[in-house]
Amino acid sequence: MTRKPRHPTVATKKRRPASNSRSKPVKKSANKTRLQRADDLDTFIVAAAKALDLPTREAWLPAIKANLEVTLQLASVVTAFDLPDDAEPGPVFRA
Amino acid sequence: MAQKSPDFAFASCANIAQAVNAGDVTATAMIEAALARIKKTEPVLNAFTDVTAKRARAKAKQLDEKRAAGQPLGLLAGVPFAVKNLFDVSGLATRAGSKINRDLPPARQDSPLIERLEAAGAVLVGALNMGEYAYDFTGENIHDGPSRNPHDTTRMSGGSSGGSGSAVGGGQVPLALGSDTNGSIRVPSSLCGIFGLKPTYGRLPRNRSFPFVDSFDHLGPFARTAADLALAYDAMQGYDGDDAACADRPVEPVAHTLSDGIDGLRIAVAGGYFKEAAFPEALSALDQVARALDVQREIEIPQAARARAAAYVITATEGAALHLGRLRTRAEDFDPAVRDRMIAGAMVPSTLVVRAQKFRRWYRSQTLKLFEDVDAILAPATPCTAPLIGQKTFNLGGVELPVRANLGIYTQPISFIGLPVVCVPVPLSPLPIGVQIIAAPWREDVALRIARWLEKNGAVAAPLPA
Repeated sequence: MTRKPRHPTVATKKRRPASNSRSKPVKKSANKTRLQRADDLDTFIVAAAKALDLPTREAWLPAIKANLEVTLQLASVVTAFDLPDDAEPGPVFRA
Repeated sequence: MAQKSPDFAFASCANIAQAVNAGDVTATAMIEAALARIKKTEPVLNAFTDVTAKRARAKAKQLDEKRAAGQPLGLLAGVPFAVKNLFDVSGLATRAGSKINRDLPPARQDSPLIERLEAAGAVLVGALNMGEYAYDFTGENIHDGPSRNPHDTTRMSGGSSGGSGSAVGGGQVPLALGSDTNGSIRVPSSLCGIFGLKPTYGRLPRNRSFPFVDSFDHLGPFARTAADLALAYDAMQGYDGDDAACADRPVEPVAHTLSDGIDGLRIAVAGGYFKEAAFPEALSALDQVARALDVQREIEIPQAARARAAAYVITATEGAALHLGRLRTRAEDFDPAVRDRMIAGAMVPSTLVVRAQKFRRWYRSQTLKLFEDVDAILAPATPCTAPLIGQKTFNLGGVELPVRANLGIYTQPISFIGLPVVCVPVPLSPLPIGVQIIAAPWREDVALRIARWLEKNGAVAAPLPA
């Protein structure tokens, strides 16, 4: 039996995309909502691949999706943290 | 470490250079012995992708001629070394662990770090196996096969500088170079039971090496003693304007400071995130080092889990940006595990990347405050000893997770803000494991002094393979 990790790690199991993780519940059953979210990500991947001119084979899509879900979930951990407006990135570029 | 055998296998760089400088052995004999060791052990370790024997023999001959002419040879005279195959080596395509890069024209000039080591008398003997495009913590490579752990060849060397860990841990060479974006020096050092130095971000120039994530890429040495790390590090320091991130700082040699001891140094153990998911062996090693140093204090690096998450996001996206053209034209030629992560990374919205970079600035400021009160922080290097080659998942903190992405959970929050780290080997049985000694920016000397003190007092050592 497994338990929820105490800190963000890269899980093998599918997670909900972060972009929806804090959205308000919609008036549909929870199962259907999750299914829609999964479909949304599939649609996003196909559209993004086209926009970025990235060739993707059908067989690659599950792994791409799993990786994207993990990355978005970890990004949601970052964006959930409030930062002051002056917390600017520290570039190394020097003109 | 004293020399173990007449062929100088497992001898330290310092001992080799002393013997060559003194004329006890010629550089040619030293290099021939190294080439013979590589030939003998390579079928098992699979650490090398290229052995530059002709070049090495010519360089050794030059050294012997210089000595005969009474000229000084340098502090690394006759020391055989090898480099992860993402360093430019004149005459070789810089493959960076990939199939695709083999089509590149051969490099026309060595990496500056190779040039600097050779200027100190060291002799390049080859290029080393690595995870494809450095996006890896396992040491496995789909094109070249896995580099193997010298202490149990059924186990991982760690990655992505797997060949570097394997070659030094297995006694093929006493010195190797690797790169560390999220832990790729510290993870193989830990799993292979050797010393590794990831210097401060911007300390050593990275030009003429194949990049991965510019925000986090570091280069550094692997060795079997702390003193050898310092010798190599000192030889490689110096500004190079061809790397935009290289800091224009004076050379700050450290080798002469190693015997200064640890009196007055304030050391703490990282708690919280750095202990939560660790296997018992990682905690045991950390405890062994802390007890040797008489460290009771524990501190928490703030938001380390978020730092790891942010490092993950930036890595995925910067890596994807680097390889976008190759993903478009040669996607079939990538390792599928790398390709699928890269394609996913290309699709992450830029707002999330900028947020991760903004968090990085905040995290840096908070972590640097800790160094007002401590000089060094101890943390595990890896959550466990070497997993089996081919092992896909492990149970981390009660959750089954991929090995490939999670062996670096304790290294990522540190390289995320470029802090210098020495990874020291704790020779547990049956397998060694590393502990990170983390210092403030530009204080590699502090981490190396602690590493040397631990080594001198028997708490850490690079074990010989059985």
